[in-house]
Amino acid sequence: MRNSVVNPMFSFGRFQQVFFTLREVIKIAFRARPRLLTAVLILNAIWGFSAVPGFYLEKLIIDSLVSGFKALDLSQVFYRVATLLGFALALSLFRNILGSYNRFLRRTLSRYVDSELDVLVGNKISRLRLSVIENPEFKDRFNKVQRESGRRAWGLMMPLSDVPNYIFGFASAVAILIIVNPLISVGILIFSIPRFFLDSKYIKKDYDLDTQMSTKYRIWGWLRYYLVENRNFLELKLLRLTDYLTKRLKGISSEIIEKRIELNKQREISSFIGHVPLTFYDYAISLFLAFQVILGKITVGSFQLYLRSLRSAEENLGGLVSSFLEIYENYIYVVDLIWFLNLKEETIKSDIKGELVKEIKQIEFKNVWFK
Amino acid sequence: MYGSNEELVKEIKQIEFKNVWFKYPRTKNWVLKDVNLKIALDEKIAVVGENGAGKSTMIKLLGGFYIPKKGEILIDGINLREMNLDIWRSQLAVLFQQFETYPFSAKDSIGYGDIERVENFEEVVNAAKKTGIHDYIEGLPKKYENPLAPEFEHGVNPSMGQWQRIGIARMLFRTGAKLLILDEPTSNVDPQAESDIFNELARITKNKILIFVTQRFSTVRIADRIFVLDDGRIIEQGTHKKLMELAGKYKKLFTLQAEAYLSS
Repeated sequence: MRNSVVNPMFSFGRFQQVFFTLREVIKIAFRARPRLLTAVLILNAIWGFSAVPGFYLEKLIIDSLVSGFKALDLSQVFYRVATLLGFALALSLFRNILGSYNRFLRRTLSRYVDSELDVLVGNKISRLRLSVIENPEFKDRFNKVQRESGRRAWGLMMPLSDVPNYIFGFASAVAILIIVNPLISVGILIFSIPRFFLDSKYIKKDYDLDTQMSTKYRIWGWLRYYLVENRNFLELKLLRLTDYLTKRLKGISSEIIEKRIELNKQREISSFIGHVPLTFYDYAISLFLAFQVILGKITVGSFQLYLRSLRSAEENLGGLVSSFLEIYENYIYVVDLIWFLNLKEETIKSDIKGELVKEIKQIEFKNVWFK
Repeated sequence: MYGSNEELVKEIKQIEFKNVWFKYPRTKNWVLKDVNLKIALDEKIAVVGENGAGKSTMIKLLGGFYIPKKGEILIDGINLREMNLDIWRSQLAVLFQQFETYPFSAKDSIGYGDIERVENFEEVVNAAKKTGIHDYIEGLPKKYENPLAPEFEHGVNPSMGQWQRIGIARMLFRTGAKLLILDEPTSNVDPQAESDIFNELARITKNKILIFVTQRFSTVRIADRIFVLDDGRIIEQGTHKKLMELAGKYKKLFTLQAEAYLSS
């Protein structure tokens, strides 16, 4: 019985953990609202892709203006720039509408996934054997699943819907940069590594701190419960426990917050250090592109296009990795959830001996031992 | 408005309900109707009656958690309204029907009965022994430091009967209290433990007042006087013998329960 409750924690590599989480979350979202999930993924991909045409329009506008300085007929330049600005406006409006619609769909999907989790959990719990439900280790792990479900549904849908946006945003920006030099894109990946490495290291540290502080978090929760939701305020008043419990709550919450602040401080400092290589790489590429303009190898507009694409690639790659890290943050929750949903249900053998129980004549306990 | 008459509650000699009427805020029905009773020091009082008769409400009024709509509650002749509630409540040890189950440790769960003395381990153990829960606690992996909720490491999940004993121990740890009140204290405790607990309560009630609300007639005999509440009114009062002779509601309820035990 013990084995059916306590499942060893999945422990494959970090990338596999991300993809395990992603796969399971997609399964749940697909089960909740398949068409909505598909729409969210496709429309976010379109949103990610639609940035680069804007950069290209900016390039055309700048080049038109630069070439216009030498033109005899300024009205032609004006009409050309006005037309391009019109396209840029249309694209901007399109992106605004698409962005709003995406946010709406994403929130809707989160709500459906949240309710799907309630249905899945509620449907499963009553089908388990009583000995499983009453097992303290099961209770502990199940309580975590139950407590986290609402928050995690939102926490998972946001990065999930952002993934196609960042993938397509990154791919389209890289496609532009490849025109200049394919190595520039490779450079972004290489110089982003310190940042990603440090970010993932601190997510792990965050986890470790949460695990280390889990008992204190529970005591915090209990203390809050007794002060706010006590089932007998009469007793609380009579025993005059409020001051004592408040003092204890303050003590334990301060201890937790101080440790978290310390970790966050370290995290921010590391994040700054992690960004330095990419910042200098960005500066070097900008200089290179400026030099290309001076040599007349690229136009001012192209300089703007490449620069914008470079920054967009950096941002999208950063966003993509952050989304994966956010998904990774939910790994433990998803493992617990999947463990719970896969627990063996109570077997009702009605198909086998259904006839036997139609009329009960005798019940016998024969040498029954139990603990 | 409650006053600050500190001297009045140092020694309780008599508690009196005088024409007390009460109904809960925003409700129409009277829960207590013209209740009159007097309880003296050293007395052990049982309050019996069916569900909804108003038994628990009497305790709430006595704790000053609600004020009678009509009539008054007098402590040695002084209206409870005029008294400093903090000081008055420091004289009470109450086990409510829905008492709280504190999970942090067995020691805390008992010690919270008197927060000023929560670190007095010897007294905590004494209180636990009086309700027969000491052996259970000693058998836990971390003994008195053991959490009483499975969410914590080594945490256990005491049964309702075990919780009741812990709750009574918490009440008994409040040694300074002059008025001990128990609302359905042993409804989940086995008969032997129930008998032990009531014997202990009877023993420690010297120079105190004990009031216990119950629906289990096996325990009421230790009471010096029994009040029978019915639909908010005290309809009978007296000793067990007297009430049996009266052949009223008490006898009917007592016989009903006794028959259930004896019929087999």
